[in-house]
Amino acid sequence: MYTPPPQPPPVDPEVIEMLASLQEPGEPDLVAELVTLFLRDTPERLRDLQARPLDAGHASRVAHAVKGSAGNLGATQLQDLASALEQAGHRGDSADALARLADAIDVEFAHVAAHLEALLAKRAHGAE
Amino acid sequence: MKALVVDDQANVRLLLSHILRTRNGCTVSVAANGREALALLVRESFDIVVLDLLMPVLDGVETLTVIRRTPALSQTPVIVLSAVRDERKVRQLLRLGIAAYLTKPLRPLDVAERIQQILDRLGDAPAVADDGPAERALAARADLRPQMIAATEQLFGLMLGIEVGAAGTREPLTSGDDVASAVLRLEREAVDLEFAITAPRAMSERMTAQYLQAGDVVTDADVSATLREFATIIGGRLQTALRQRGDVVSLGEPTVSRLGAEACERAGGIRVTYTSSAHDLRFMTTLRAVPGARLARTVQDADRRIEDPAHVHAATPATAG
Repeated sequence: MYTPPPQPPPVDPEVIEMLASLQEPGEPDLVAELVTLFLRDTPERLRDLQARPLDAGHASRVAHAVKGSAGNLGATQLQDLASALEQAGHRGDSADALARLADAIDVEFAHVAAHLEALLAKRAHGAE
Repeated sequence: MKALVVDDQANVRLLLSHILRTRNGCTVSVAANGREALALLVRESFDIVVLDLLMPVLDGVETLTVIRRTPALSQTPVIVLSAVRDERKVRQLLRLGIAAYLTKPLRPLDVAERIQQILDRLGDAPAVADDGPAERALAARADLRPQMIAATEQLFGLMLGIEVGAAGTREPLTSGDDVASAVLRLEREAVDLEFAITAPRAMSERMTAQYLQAGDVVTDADVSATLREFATIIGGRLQTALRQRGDVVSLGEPTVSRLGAEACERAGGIRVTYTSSAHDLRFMTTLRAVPGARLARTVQDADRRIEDPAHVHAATPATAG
């Protein structure tokens, strides 16, 4: 029976581990704080990408911000898609091309968010 | 040490603050854009600023421009941390004066290490003897040392893709080294400054080969052109720093020559050796003060050496053949 190759997780576990290694005893959970801020701020940015037609300059600026914050948490695929939209905006690609990338970012963010929410729940459970 | 983190992304502010506080022992304040940062900078004194580039309200370049034009802030070390990889933008930042350019996404341990190097450098006391007007003029500008180091490290990274770092050792100048120098004429003083980048012959060829990419023919003219460009860019950065200090200064045409028997005469000044273990490179930058009249003769000598290849061989028996 054919088994599809396993998909890489939407968030690189090594990046999360590295961030966890920065934790100082007695301080708030750094990973949980970073993830919470990412889950709080990113949907607002993605709403800015829902306008149609999408303005290239605006899309580029929003995508730049998403690229940075996704990269910091190891959400590599989301980071790559945001980087592609940023470049497409710089090149002045068609509104259709920008919209396709914006849609792909939305879909990938849903994967990342689900993964990170599970991670938050696990960390909260582990802390109990 | 007090640090100011300027970034429009809350998670970046949090992560950077955490690193600066726990790894570098800094007290940290944060700002979400350039305007907030400037409001804090005029109220409080900071030892270092970590600045994002793309931000709403007032972006990183605009903020850095204001910082450099404000006398009380003009010498504040600024580290730029950004996902922007636009070479023109980086050159613009270098001209304005930055201590380092680090790329996002953040690699926290690397960031902590680089920031620590910069903080350590801030505390370095330059070894400049105070025994004459030239030395006094240089000692008064000893704060140029970290800027010379930062500009050199960044230029190698940017133009050659080679990571070099200032080493603790001081190397002697050697007959046969290539030396590119740019004169910084201090209009109000009898003393001028001379910035020089001094590279062993073998390194000049290797770095030029890398610059021109493998396979290209490397000639003496290419080596000279690369070194001259380096001297111009770093000299330009020092010129900007001097102007921010209030000096009236002009940058002379850079020259390239090969050190001959006068190598030992060039001792002194602010001298920094750089190494890159990955590429087995070792070279040096110097900033020295020279009486104006003597400097003019030195420039003419160097010009003559470039124009007259026979003179090069005559002056450098160690490298002939």
